[in-house]
Amino acid sequence: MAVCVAVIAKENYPLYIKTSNADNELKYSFTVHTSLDVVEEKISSVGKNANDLRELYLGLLYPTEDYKVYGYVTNTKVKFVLVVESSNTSLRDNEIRSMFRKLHNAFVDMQCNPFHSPGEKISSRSFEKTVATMMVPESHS
Amino acid sequence: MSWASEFPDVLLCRPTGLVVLTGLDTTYNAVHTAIWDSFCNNRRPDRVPLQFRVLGADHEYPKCKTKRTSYEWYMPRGVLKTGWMSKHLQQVPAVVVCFFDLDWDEVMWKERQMECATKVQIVRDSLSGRSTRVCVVLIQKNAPLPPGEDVVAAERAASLCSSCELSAKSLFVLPLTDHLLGYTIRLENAFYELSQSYYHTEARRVKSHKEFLNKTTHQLLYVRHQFKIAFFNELKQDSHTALKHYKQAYGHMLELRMHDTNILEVKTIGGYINYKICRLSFQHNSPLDAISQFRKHIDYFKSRAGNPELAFENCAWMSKQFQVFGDLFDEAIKLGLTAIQTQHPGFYYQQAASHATVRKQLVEALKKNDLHSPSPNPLELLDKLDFFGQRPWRQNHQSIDPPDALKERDGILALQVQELKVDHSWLIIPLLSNAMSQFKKYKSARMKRYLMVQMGFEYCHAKDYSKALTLLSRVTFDYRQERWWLLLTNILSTELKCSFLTAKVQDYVTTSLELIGQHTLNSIEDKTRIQMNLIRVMSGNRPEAEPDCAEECTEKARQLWKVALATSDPQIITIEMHNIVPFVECKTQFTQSSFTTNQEITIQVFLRTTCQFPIRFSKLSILLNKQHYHGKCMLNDGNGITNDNTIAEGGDLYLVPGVIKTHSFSFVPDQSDVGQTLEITSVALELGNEGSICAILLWPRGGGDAVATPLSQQQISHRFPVKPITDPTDWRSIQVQASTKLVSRPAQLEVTVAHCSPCLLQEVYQMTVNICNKEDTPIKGVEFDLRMKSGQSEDSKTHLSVALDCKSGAQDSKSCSLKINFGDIAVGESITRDIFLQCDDVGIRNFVAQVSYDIEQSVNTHAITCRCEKSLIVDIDVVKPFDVNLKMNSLLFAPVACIHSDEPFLIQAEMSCLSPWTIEILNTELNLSQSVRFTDDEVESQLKGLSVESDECVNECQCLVAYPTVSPSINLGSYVITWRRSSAGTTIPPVTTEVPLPVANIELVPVLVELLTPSCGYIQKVFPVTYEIHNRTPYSQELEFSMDNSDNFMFAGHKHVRILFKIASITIAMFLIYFFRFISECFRSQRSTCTTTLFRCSLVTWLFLGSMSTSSATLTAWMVRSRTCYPLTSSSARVEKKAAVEPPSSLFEIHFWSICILRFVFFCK
Amino acid sequence: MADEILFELLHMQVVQRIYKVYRHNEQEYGDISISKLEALGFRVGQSLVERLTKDVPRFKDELDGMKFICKDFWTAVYKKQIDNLRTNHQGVYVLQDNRFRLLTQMSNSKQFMEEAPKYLALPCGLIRGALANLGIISVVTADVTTMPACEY
Repeated sequence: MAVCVAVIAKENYPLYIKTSNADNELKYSFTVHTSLDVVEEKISSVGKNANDLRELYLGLLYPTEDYKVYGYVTNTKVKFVLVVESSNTSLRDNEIRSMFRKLHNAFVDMQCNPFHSPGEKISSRSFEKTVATMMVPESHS
Repeated sequence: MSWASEFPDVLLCRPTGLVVLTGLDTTYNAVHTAIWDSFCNNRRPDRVPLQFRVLGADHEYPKCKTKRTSYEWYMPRGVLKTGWMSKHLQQVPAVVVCFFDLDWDEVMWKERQMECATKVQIVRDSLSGRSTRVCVVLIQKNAPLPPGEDVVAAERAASLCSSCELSAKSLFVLPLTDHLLGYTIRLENAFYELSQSYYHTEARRVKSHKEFLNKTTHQLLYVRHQFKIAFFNELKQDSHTALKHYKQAYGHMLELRMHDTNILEVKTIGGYINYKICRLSFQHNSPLDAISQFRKHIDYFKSRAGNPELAFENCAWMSKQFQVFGDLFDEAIKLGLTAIQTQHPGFYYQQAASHATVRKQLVEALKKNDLHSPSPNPLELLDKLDFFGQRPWRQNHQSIDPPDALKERDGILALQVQELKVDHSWLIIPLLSNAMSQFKKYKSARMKRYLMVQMGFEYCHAKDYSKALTLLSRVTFDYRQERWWLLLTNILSTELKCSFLTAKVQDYVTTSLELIGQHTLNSIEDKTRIQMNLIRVMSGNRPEAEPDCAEECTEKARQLWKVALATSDPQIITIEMHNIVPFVECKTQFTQSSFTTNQEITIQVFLRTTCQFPIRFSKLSILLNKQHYHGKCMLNDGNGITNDNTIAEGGDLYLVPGVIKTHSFSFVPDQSDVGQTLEITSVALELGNEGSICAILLWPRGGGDAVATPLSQQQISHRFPVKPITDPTDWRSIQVQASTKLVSRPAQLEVTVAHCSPCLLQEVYQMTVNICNKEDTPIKGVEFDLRMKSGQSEDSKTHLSVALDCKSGAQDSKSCSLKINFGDIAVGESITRDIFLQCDDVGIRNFVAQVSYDIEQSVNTHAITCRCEKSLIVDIDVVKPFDVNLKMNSLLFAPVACIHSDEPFLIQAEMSCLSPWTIEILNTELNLSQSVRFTDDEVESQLKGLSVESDECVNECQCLVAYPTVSPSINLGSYVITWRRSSAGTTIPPVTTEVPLPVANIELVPVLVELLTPSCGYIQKVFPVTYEIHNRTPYSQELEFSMDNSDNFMFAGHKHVRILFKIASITIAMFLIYFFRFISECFRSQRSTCTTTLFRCSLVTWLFLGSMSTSSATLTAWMVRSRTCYPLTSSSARVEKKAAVEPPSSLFEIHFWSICILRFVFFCK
Repeated sequence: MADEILFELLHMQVVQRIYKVYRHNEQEYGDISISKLEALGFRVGQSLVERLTKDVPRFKDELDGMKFICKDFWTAVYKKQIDNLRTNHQGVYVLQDNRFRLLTQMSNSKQFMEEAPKYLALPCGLIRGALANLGIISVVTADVTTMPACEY
């Protein structure tokens, strides 16, 4: 499963970054940050192409030697980025999709929490829990 | 371990067939040199891909190995010999060409032919065993005849062929004509065909070995042979076949068993073949094939790292693979391939860099062991390997275990030692920079920045700290902007380290300011340490070294710092705070959005620090757009920054983390700044000592939050800008207000401008200004200023004046504005002044009346003189007082279009009053021009003294007569009315309005008839009527007139007369009329009634003069004039033209008949 | 029906309550209350749009977002769609609701016309919050011409 889950605000600053391994946080941060280039490009190219699917799921952003980076953008331009190890070939596109869905649901629930103020870093426990189910070490199904 | 991963040039180049030219003496023979030049110079891509070399005829070519008949006992010792490719590219020719000077008509033909045959034989001998094609080119001085015509030539050619054992196809002739290049190109093509056939045979020859091979022992040969076939095909320029065989070679290679001893060889060859495959795929415009082949290649070899002690070797190899693929990709793009954002060479360069980085890290781990190069050096033979990718100390060895364990150890050690000498950073940086330019090209700004960061780190690693610093400082802005604090912190920490090591005070301080703030995510210990260091620097001491700096660098840095801090001049570092996210934040506000000049201006400064422990600043100053206030907005902390943190608290600029410190500055505004905006241009906070070292933290405008809240989060609605209450304990609630307006003190005055609108045109309009002092103190220098509102044109038709002298004032000062000095006014007093306005044009005028004055005020014991102002707008509507309608009437009050000279007519002036005010008419006057005169001697205005009210209308009538004139129209003069509004006092000068009289058309009348009657007649009394008929023509005329009968009266006189009418004569026709009865009804108004009679008079003959013809033809009427001068009664005659224009003849007759209408008034008795 | 009416009643109480709280602040109390209500709406709109856009395809442009507000968003809040959407294609949109729920309960005449703005502050905030979260920074004003129709 994912080695890094990130939520990026619409202004492109990180709301939440969780990595499976704390040592790699910096590296993944850079990975996530650079993936925003592709996300932005994909968002801005929407509409130019008539047969665009206009899904929230952006698909594989770019593959590197070791990781695959997937993107998802909500209508409110909040971006979710998942980093998956390239060696993990068992993950299908559908599974990635459902992971994003789960993440989105958790995010929306958290947004509707009155104690959360929009645009701030995410520190919700239930959100944390949802993310934990997707991360590598905690559960590897 | 670069050698193992290097790609030889022979592999990288595009293989082209080799053609050797012999028999050319390029040193001494000019003709031969020209031929050689035409072959090798200017080889454009459209020429055949061949490579030419000039060699002597007796050149020794590499020996051909004896053919192996059986591979049964043959054990291959490696995959590919190191020299094989270059041998076929540069040494073994496909074609050898013998050039020979020989003409068909050569005298010594036999001898020359022999000589040629010998040369060819020498070449054949040196090529023994090779199937290299040989051909002969005869260099001839004469141009050849068309084929078939030269019998001698054909014969001799055949004999030459047979003596040289050449086929006829291998004999060429090169005539030395002007078209050398053309012949060269034809020759070239022929050589190309020969070379293709050569390489084709070679490839087939290699292929034929296949049947001898078996899979168990000759695995290596499968790879080798396929590679060779492919290579020959490439030389043959058959890239598709080549690709096919390379792929096969690759397939065979994957089947090889890999173990530690041969892994390098397999990988090396694998890399080569992969390179060829990718290259050809790109060449065939199938980039996806290339990419997928490369992916497969990498995936296969990624996990096969080999000996962990030589792991760096694997990384180097990987890095090289990526780099070379990136190069190929990039080259393909230059040739027209389009790449996309997620698939372009940048990724490969980046990956290459990342492998190189791993390699560097592995080597760093090696460094910990103390390694010494073993002797003898097992790598001595490194450059003289037989096969690609083999170990120099055990060449040709193919079994699984190394032959000599000890030697193997030494070999590995030697490799490691050699690897240590490599400077990896300089391998990584170009890769990163390549990747960077690619990512920039494909719109990946963040990736580019990331690569810049990596490059910066690499420079830092390479100990080029200043370069690292420049690179990193260029990207921090964006990370700050996007609020990726983790990344920012990481970069800043490196920057801090670099700036420490290079002793750059400015950078060091700037970075520190950020790193000790709340947003950076470094540890608290770090923050504390950095803050301590910052204070050290600011007090002129050297900072402690950053952690994990190399010892020697730290030592060097110490020296640098010593120099940097030892300068005697004070060092002032200015830092723009809006560029960074500092630990200290500042907000300033003017307490009000506007101040009056008698108020003290107050600026509040809020400061907050988010560092670890308290810090003391030395000076706070606010810079305004008006420099003279600067002195008043400065705050000095006398204590100065010291290392001692236990200094007494409560100092002016001692800031405790998290506590908001508020300072206010108050000052009295300068009176000259009234109406202007006062702005805070910047706030400067100084840290350190101005005498030695000092950092000025500069906030533009009024400062603000270190991090701006994103726009979408700002909840304040723009519709209801309710000013939030500033709570000095809540930082977020503090709003920055960086500008304020200085307005003048509100005036306590009562100003009225009284006037009776509307103003009449040209009238001297009186307005009364009243100023009343309602202040508590006397006011001085009161000035009243009245001007047209800006935007209205300063027309010349409006005059304002302080018309103290009413007679002349209004006319003299013709200006649209006016200023009155009222002097001083005591408390409660009021002053009244009249001013006058005269407008020559109707319309609304807007005036601005402004009163300004000085008043003494005291603000906080400062006595100041305030200038106060009050203004009001005065709107004045200017209207026409009356309308004058001037008409020309006949004496019978019938309007006339034209007048006749010497005949009297009436000018009727009708004046209708439009003004709401009553107008008093002082006089009216007709100013006549020289062409008219009054009929009466004494003329008096009939309207004089009349008062006309609104909507009333008055009439006046004067009788005029025009002098004879020749001009068709005359100017009558003008009508002058002198008036004033009746409410105005006699001091106001009257207004004179002049209206031009209509322009009258003069007509010439041939005959004038005047009627003379008494003013009234009585029934049954005789009423004498006289008609005077004047001849106005310059000729004698025949005149006929008659009087018709009427039922109302009888008359005595000629009923019908026909006379000669002399020049300028008057004929008088007299009648005595006796009325039978009242001919008129009596109206209540006692106005007129009439009776008619018919008096007919006609010119029987009229001498016609050419010059008068046009006017006489249009002539229509004459006048009957009455002498009766009763004002409202008059007689008139209407004359109608009976006959129209007669045909042009010299003599013609015009009949006139007239109806004489007589008006009488009967007095009721 | 109770659940629908509940929202309306709650809204009325909120409006009244807010007005009561700020009554002491003489001159600006209308403005403060309205901006308070607007801010309330803003926060709700922000969260609501997050939830409602969850299963909607990605918006192509501003107009797409606007249509979403008119249809899905409005239906979710007021059980009906916006009646009319007009735009000048330069950033001005006019949304018209001819039977605005929060006003239908009040009057069909012009009697309470003056009172209407305070009941519209919250919806204004809702729209603004929703749009802001969709990345459209906007100024939303409401305009009541005849009860119970209103335009935004």
